[in-house]
Amino acid sequence: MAELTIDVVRSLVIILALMTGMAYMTWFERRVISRLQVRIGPNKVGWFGLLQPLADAIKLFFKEDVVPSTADRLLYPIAPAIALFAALAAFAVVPLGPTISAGGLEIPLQVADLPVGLLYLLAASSLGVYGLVIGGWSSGSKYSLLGGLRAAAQLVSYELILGLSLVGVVIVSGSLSLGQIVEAQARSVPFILLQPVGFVLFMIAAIAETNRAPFDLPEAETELVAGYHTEYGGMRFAMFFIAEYVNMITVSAVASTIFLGGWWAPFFPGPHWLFIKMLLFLFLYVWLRATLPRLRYDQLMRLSWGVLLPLGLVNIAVTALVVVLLG
Amino acid sequence: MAATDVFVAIVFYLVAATMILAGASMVLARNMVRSALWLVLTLAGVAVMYVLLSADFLAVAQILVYVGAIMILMLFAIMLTPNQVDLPSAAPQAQRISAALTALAVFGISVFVMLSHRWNVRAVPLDAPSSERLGVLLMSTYVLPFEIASLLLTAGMIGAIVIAREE
Repeated sequence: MAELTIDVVRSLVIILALMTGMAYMTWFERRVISRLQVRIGPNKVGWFGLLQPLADAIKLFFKEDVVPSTADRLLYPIAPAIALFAALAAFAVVPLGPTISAGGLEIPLQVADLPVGLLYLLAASSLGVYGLVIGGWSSGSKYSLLGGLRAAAQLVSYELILGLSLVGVVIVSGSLSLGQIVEAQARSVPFILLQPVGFVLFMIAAIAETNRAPFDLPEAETELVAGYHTEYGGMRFAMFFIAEYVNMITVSAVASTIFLGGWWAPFFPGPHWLFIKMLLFLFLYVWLRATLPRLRYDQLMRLSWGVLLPLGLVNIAVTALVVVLLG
Repeated sequence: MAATDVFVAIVFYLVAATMILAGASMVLARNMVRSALWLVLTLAGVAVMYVLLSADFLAVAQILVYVGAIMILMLFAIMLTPNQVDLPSAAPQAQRISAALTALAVFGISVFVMLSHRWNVRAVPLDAPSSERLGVLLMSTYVLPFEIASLLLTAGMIGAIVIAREE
């Protein structure tokens, strides 16, 4: 019973933290992008604009719920829920810190240390595609449909790269569990030093998987209005939006865990180190969005199948060879 | 122990019923996108079955391959052919009869095999990560079938590229 209580409480705390983190990620993004574009950004609501996310949430919550007459009655409402579910589910395997003991109980700071954690991450991210594809199709609008189709093609192509980039890490660490990957890095060095090519491949594929600039083709506003979520408004739109930002947070956490050692550090290891490392990646997201123009569709596909895929295969072959030669 | 057994039984029957309903809906649905989505639900149910059998690797691979990749590509293809989304009418009489006979035959053979074969049943499910052992077996005992399968897939992929290039 105590274990069940711990599981429920820990999951709730993590979901609440993700929601809060996601809200302040929007504030962080708007403030940083403003600085990069020599503007000021939201600074009126609360101290430094810190209450702006709250105001946005209240606004979205009280918007009228409009369903287009061409929409599919059954699928239109559940598409945003699928996207949000997949985004939250993916975070379950991220180790936030070492196991702590309180009141005679051992509490691992991780929802589930699955032996197949890395594969679970890929599976959860592939489920998220359904939210985008179903949302795009069920809206009954051509812009939405085109956005959904782009999402399907883009995510299938880049999921492959994501998987290939992780194989190198699995070869070096000898495990698919994220907890053991952190331990392996604690014993040696952060894997960014052993797998620099894998790291670059992972970051490019992960940014494409989260539909962020310069890979935000499924919601390209200059050509598709807003892509797959054109017809969504109010809280349903907000659920797509939350899913995208939670995915960014998850990618940052996973990149920190796999390539930078996660919560582990030479001194004072703990969850705060994971947070600092995640901030680096979240800043990278914003920086890229402010810097790079959006890719064209053919460029996107050529990059994936023509450049990243061969690079990923070579990386796996070289890594395997070196591991075998060094014993 | 008893409490978890009851829980597993409840989950099994709920998921099994959902899978049968979803499978029937997939066949009966007139809209091809909905039909494909019912199939997704059925395939996801198979993954839950693997979890109940503590086959962790198979469960995740099922989601990753069938739900995540194959069905997304199928949806992609259906959505690219807008005139085919709603099936216009039912099949002709002759096709219906032969389809019913085939379905009955497959059902009969499956039930016969299920009942007549002596299955190796473990009293307690294997509660250990299976990915490492599966990997070792694929690279040692079953390396020949594994390589033949990958050769077949490569041939299929090259064939697809050749057909696509003809245009």
